[in-house]
Amino acid sequence: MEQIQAAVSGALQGSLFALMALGLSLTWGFLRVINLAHFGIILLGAYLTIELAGPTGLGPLGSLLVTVPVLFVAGAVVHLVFDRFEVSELNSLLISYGLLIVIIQVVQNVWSADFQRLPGDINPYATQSVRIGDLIFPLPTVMAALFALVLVVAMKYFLDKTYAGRALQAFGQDREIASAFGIDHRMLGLLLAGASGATAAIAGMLFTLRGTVTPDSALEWVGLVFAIVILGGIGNVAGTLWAGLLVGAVSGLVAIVWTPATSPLVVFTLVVLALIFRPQGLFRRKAAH
Amino acid sequence: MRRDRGWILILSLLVVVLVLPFLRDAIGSQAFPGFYMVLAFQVLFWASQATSWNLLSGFGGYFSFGQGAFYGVGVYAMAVLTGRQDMTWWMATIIGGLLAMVLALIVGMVAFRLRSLRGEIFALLTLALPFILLAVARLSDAIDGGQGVIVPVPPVPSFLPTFQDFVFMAGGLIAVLALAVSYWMSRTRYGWALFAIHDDEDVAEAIGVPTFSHKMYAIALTGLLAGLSGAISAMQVGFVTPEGTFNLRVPVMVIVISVLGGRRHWAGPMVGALYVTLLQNRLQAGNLEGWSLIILGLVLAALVLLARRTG
Repeated sequence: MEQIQAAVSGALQGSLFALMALGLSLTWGFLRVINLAHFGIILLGAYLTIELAGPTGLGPLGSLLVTVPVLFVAGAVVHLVFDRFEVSELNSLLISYGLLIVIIQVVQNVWSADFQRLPGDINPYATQSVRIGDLIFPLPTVMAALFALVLVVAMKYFLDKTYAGRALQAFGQDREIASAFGIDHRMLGLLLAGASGATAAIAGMLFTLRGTVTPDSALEWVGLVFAIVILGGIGNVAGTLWAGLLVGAVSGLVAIVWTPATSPLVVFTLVVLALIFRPQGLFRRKAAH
Repeated sequence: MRRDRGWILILSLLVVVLVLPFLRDAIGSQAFPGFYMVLAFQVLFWASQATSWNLLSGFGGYFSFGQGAFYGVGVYAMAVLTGRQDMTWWMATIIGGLLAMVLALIVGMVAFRLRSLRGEIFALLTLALPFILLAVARLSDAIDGGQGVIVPVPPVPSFLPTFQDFVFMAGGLIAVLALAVSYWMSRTRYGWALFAIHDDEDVAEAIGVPTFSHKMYAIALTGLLAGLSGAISAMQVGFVTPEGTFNLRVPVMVIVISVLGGRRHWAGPMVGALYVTLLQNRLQAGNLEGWSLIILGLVLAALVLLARRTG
């Protein structure tokens, strides 16, 4: 029972990291940029939530009304730079690494390096939990799982069923041919990068519900989130969610069977093995590119 | 004799490293505060780290975010071997370098065997490496266990005036070694092979460059030099923690320094180290420390954007 509780709790936490990975995976897969600044945008989402939720009376969920549009623009602006300068995949990694460092330092200068958290009266979710049979889950992780599920389903629908989504898929597969068929990749690229910024806003908000955040949190997410992106398959929306749940469940299990400190070790060893044996991701039938 | 200019520069640096401590002692601390020795040490430390990184990632084009891992192995070798095992500092330095080299070879063996692990995926793999070592260091009581390790002050050789002079000289010798290796590589077939791998690995392979073994040499040297330099720097720091060691500070610095100084030239990282260290020092002096990473990040982004053909 203990093991089941640990695995499911872990999986729910993993869904938050899947949500962080979603935007990264999409822009990597379809726009061919590896945007480390995504972690900076998530961090901004978290800090803006803390800043807005109390004083404005919006609460953490209400603050999304502000953070989602703002960070949609932030994501689009970053992509505007990538697109304008036609950067390669590797250079996008370097440029966005520079941006990430800038964002972390700006956050530190504005909000200090200390732990920040939502005050208890503004964050009623933190102390509540959901009980299913003998299993108990903190409400914030359940909310994260719900948000992740809804966003993944919505994104999957958008990509598979709408014209814009299929145009993006075509663009991700072959830029020249897609452009020859009249796909306006500039507009679609900005839209997708903006959407990825919006998911970052939601991920940042969900992160503040479960506890404290520091400027360095952004760096702590990097390893786990990239692990999920790669395991899920780059650009594979559903795969990202599965990978998040899997990584979370494994972490949770390892933490209880051995010690919590071993779980990153096991997870990263698995990622390295996955990179070697299935570089295209766990859930994809054919090679990526 | 244009060809020999590099050796002249490296030999001059060697002379400076060997003479400066005695010069400082002769001038006296009024005119030459000991603080300048710390600054000089930092310049040479970052020059060593960036030069080491540049062998694989600049010459060879395999961008690594894992420099902190090789550096950190050196740091912890020094901390654990001198602090807990009573080993001499120079033995610990050599072991630190060798252990970092072994780690580098393991990474190379995994990463370079696979055609799919080129470029971006290699970069991400190395991004995860310091986090794995962080977990190991936190976990293992033999290494750290989470409380940090005190690095004892080693007995200073009797011919040197102070401890700071000693650390400067040791770190300086490592920097001279790193620059000499880098210069030598850029002038021989090993370096040319790496340049070819950087430009187009498939073509390099097709014209007969044994790409795998050359990448292994490069990553081994990167690891060795980073480990040696890390071990010496642990003596300067005095107290090491897993979080303070296996973080992104070293990778950020070496990347910015090398991109700024120039990744195709053996002396590029040295020049970059001089700029960046002095810039950081000026910012600290003006109480603008919070700006240094902002400036470095923007410089990195701007340089890569404007010089689009790096990569």
